[in-house]
Amino acid sequence: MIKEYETKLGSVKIETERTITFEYGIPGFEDLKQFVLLEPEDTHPIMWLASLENNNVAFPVTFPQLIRSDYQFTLPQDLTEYLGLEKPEDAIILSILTIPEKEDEITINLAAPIIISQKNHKGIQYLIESEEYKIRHLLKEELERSKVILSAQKDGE
Amino acid sequence: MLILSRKIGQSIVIQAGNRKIKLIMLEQDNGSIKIGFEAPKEIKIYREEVYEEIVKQNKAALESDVNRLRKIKTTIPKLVKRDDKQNS
Repeated sequence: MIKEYETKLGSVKIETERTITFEYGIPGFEDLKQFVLLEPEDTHPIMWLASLENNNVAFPVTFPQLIRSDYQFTLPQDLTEYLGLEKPEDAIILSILTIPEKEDEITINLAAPIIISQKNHKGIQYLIESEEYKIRHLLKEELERSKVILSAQKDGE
Repeated sequence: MLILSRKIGQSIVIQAGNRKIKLIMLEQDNGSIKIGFEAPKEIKIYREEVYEEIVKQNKAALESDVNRLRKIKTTIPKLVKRDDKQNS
């Protein structure tokens, strides 16, 4: 079934099964449960996790591996069960970005990724208990870091 | 605020509807207390300052507008494409 919704990015027609349910909400937005992942071409690879219930709410998100090439963490079993995940590819992992006026000040949240299940269409913002990942990493620094890692890998080949 | 006094090894039980959360006082060391939690798995337990930081970042993320994003979009894809070439 296709339904029309008003989102921060305008009116969108989406299939009901593309709706992502955040039963526990997102910290700070606990009352909002229904979201959709919008992928407008002109902001790629930044996507928008847009609320279907409040058209002022849309989080810019991207794949953390694009920013930190060696990004990884393990999900606890209760969460993989909740999300119905059988293999890592069943999940879409996204990081929320904060984009202020100055491009140099863009930050990415690597500590609390958004995890979306492609199996049962549930979503959750998960907090990784690790010193490695912080709520605010400067995008600029992360991209530099990944560049160094990737070129070191290339030299090693 | 309710104030309860507990010894190491003793617990506090919080009941909300049909859910119970148990807090166990485990260890005390130089002004810091270790607390164990037993709660239904759907109840998330956070350190307050960390939770508040996530809330703050999520709220700040909403200030990002689409037009500003269109301007900066080149930053990430450029690097990604260059990386693709490196890999191929």
